[in-house]
Amino acid sequence: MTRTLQRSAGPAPTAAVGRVPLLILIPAVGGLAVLLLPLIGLFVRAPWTDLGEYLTSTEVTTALRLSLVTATISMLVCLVLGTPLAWLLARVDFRGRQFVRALVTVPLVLPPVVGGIALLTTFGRRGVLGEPIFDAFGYQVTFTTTAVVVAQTFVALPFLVLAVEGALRSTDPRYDEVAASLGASRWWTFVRVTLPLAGPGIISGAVLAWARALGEFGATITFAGNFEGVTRTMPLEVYNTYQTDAPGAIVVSLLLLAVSIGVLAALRERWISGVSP
Amino acid sequence: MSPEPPESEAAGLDADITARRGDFEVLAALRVRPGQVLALLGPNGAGKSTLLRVLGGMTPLTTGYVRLCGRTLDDAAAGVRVAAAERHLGTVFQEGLLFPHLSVLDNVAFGPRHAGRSRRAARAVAAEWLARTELTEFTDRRPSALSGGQRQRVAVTRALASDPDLLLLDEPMSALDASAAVAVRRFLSRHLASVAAPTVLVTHQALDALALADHVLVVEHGLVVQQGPPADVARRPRSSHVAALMGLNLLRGRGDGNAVRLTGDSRLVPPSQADGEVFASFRPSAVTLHTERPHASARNVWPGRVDGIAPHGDVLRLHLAGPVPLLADVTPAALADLEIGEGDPVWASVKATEIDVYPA
Repeated sequence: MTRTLQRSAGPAPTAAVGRVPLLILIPAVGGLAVLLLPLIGLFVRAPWTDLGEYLTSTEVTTALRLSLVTATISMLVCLVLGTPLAWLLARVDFRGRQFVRALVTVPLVLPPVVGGIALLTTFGRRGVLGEPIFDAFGYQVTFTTTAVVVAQTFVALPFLVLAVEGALRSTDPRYDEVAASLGASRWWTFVRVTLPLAGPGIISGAVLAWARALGEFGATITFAGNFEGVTRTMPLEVYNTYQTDAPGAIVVSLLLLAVSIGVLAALRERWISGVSP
Repeated sequence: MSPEPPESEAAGLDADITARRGDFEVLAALRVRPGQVLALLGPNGAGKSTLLRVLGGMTPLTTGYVRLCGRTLDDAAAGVRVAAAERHLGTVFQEGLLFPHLSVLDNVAFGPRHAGRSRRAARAVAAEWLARTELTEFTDRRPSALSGGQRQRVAVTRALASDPDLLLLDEPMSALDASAAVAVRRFLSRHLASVAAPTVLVTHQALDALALADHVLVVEHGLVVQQGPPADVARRPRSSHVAALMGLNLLRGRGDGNAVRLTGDSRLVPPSQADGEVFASFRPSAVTLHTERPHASARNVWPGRVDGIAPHGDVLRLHLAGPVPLLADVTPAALADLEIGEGDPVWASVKATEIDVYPA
């Protein structure tokens, strides 16, 4: 990514097309500033001397473990449910496909807190589905770790579906025809040809979904609540700590940032070395 | 793969196809006996590939049927349409389309694997096939590490390894450079000989059809305009497209005994009695050029104008415009002696004995 930035934003003149116009360069640098300045602020105000103490507190380690576990489970649920949905959208020409694709993108533009309310009115104890389930089994999903996974999956699934659908669309559908002509059923074609060919796109979709799940706040706090060790994930821990202890919130924020960037970088590294040996 | 002779009419491919391709219809009847190669020859967009896609189960036919080894694959009237995966075909596509994520061995093993063999057994079959087609050295390579010609040979091997009831070759040489195309053509002619299944080859190269096919269907604008053994099609083309592919002059006219009336006022003297609608074909090398009207023995003399000159092997091929458009081959020395260039008027003469006249 840094290489791309250097190449396109750098003012180095190229013989063929000339210098980068200032009218492009200035807003581009401004955009970069918008993205980076808040992070710099975070670093500047961080209580570096008390860092160890904050990071080893039970609240933080518990929240971190909960976040990593739930985000990973949500990502897996997204893969299992989202990949077939993406395949359907990319490969099967059914009536109302455009409509279904539009529906999939709704959670993308929905404010997460609205998503939380929607989940609550559906799966809550007095919810459309939640009430009959509670009456029949005495089980309610709200305020459980499962609710965290449901909320995260709800907001992360569109990212995975759109990424995988794009990856499937960009793989040559004639490979499917070749597989069929060699006697492979549609299922085995999906498993042995389509999925491996769309592999990089599926991985990047999964990474996006995981990152989105990890950062999920609004739907989680509305639908799952804010209980330590059960539903208080890292973003909720940040919010909680900030009420009483601003420097502590900065530390937890930095930790969340470090974990996301670390995992993304590790996956990217592995993914690149895996694709082009 | 025992080369059994056809037991009955049911053996081999028997198809009568009408299919839609964009805004025009493709119509053809195909009969191919086991072990025989049928070439569908024609310009791009003629509907050849549509016919192949129908046979492959990728495109539905609008009317007609496809029967293979006595099994009905398509029957529009009865509403039968066997899925591509159930047809037992081997297909070779223009660009080979080897699975990029699989090794050469696993590409070739793909068909046997989906015919119900274990991974191990399928790989054993694939290794055997790679040995037979002399590609063993590429066993562990990825397709990206192969040249275009190598990829295409692997693609052919992959199709053969699935032990197909019908082999479909869709322009297998057209994406290759000239030398690779020669190698793949030689590879095909060697290995198609041992294929017991009927084969349908789609090509727009006359050479492919001549080198590989037992029977040729010329397809133009969705219709079969000519069919026959390749040598006959090559010698007696029935369309300007095929004539151009074969590098022949082709004229059409109406014979009334000792003369053939061509379009306009031009006449052609045939080698023998000619009656009714006829084609007349002759080689460009049979055309002699003159700067003045000749009074020689050749009785076929037409005026023209040099419309273009291009090198063609050792000679120059002239395109002549005029009442009778012609191709004429002359040596560079002869052209220099004539002192003519593009745009100059010339007389063209052809001996009657050089002309092949046959009913249209």
